[in-house]
Amino acid sequence: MPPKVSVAASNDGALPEDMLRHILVRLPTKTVCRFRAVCRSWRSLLTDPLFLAAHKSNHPGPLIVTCKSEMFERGAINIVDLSGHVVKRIAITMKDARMVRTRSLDLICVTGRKGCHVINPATGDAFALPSCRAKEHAHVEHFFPESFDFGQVVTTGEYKAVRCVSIDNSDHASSPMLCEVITLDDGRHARWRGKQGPPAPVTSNLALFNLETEEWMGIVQGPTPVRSFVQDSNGRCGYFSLYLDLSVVNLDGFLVMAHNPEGCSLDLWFLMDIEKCLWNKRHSLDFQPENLFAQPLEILNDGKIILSASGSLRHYDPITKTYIDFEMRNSTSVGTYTGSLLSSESAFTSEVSVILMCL
Amino acid sequence: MATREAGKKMIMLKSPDGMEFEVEEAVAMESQTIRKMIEDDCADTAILIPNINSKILSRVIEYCNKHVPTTGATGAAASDTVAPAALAEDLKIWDAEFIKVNRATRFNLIQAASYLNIKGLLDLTSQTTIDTISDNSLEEIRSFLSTKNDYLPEEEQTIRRENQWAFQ
Repeated sequence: MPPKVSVAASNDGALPEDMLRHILVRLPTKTVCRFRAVCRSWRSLLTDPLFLAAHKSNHPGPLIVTCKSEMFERGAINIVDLSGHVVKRIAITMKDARMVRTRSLDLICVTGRKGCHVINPATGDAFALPSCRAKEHAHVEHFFPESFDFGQVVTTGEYKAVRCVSIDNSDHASSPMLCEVITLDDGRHARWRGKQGPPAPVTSNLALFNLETEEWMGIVQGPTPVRSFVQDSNGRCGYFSLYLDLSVVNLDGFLVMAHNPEGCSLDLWFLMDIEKCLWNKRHSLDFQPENLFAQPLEILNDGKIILSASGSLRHYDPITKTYIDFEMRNSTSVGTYTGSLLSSESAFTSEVSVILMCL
Repeated sequence: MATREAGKKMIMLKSPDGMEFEVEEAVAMESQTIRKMIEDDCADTAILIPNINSKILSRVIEYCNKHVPTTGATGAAASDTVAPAALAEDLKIWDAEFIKVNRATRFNLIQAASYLNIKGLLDLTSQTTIDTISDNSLEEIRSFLSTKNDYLPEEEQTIRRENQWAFQ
């Protein structure tokens, strides 16, 4: 327990500490951080784990992370609450940065033309992942990192990143790919390690990778309507280049494929059984022009689905089929953040340690 | 249940400075603390409310009177004709007027709401305090709470650096 807060007990401007706690758990996150500088007793109160837990339950998440970055400019990451208010802004030094897909993690990963940075929103610390290749691949002549993903191992809480590398600059579609994994234990000494390449040496596929065993789990066929959509596009786009119409996110502990072709309903396919490739269309949102390029971010405890659309954050109620919209600045990529901005120690672990790579 | 339907059962509340307040049981039961006393049959005659003077207690009762669900003889008509949203809006305006008190009274109300366990009143008084202090400078906060800055200058610099984003 922190020492008693020394607000004078004699005059009527005073509040006992437990009363002060009652009040201060309602403070906005940013103000909590600022008020740590008021005096020693306030600092110990405002960093006390019990206080932080109470504060978190008074400000139930999740928070939304948006990343805005222009081709030749440095960008910024905004942490936004569910009403679209910016809670925290973090400048990023990388140009043309894009956030790695939404994943409900404590860390944020952005990739740009010059590599990849992992950012801790609580501290604002960023470290660059090494770009030099795994020693197993030192001999390879051509080395073009193609797809990248990032996730957390459920059992250990470790963060790992995976990248698939093309080794042929002439014809990506038919040549085999290499795979490398890195564990972000303390960031600074992490190295890429060579792993078995992905099972499909062709583009336009989805493959599952288990971050814990660091093994490929095979190719995933999308749900039938999505599959025929991809086939009908006649090579115009594989899964990877379909990202405006199709996104893969983590919702409710499931891998979810959101299929959102122009002019059609927005369908959310939940991967119920990984081995049998069993997809279940749990939600189908009727077409709305506002949902063009929309992406599901989260399902709240009350069943509402949070969508990011252009310029707004939409709360969709599947029972009444209605939306509540909040203004949110346009951004190049959007995700969710489940960590605490008040404590650098993470208490969160991911629900899924399997990631779906679009090759 | 029988007493509730009658809606008229009265409870006597006593403040430590000797004042007595006769209130409807339903109003008194807005306080979870008093509700528990009544339900446990510890409230035969009068309930002494320690630590809350008559001035504050009368304000608390005023709040409970306004916020008690309108199921009584007079309330029934009101809740039938007025839309719930309009009723909530009306309460909000009333709350905003109610909380226009000086700091000492507000702090006393917070303590009373906490002791009597009246969630709505605790939310109202705490949130009003938060709204008042959130944008204040550190100096203003210190004088607001009559607290001194006991950091060494270099310590304060460190704290500010650690929480730098909050000062931008």
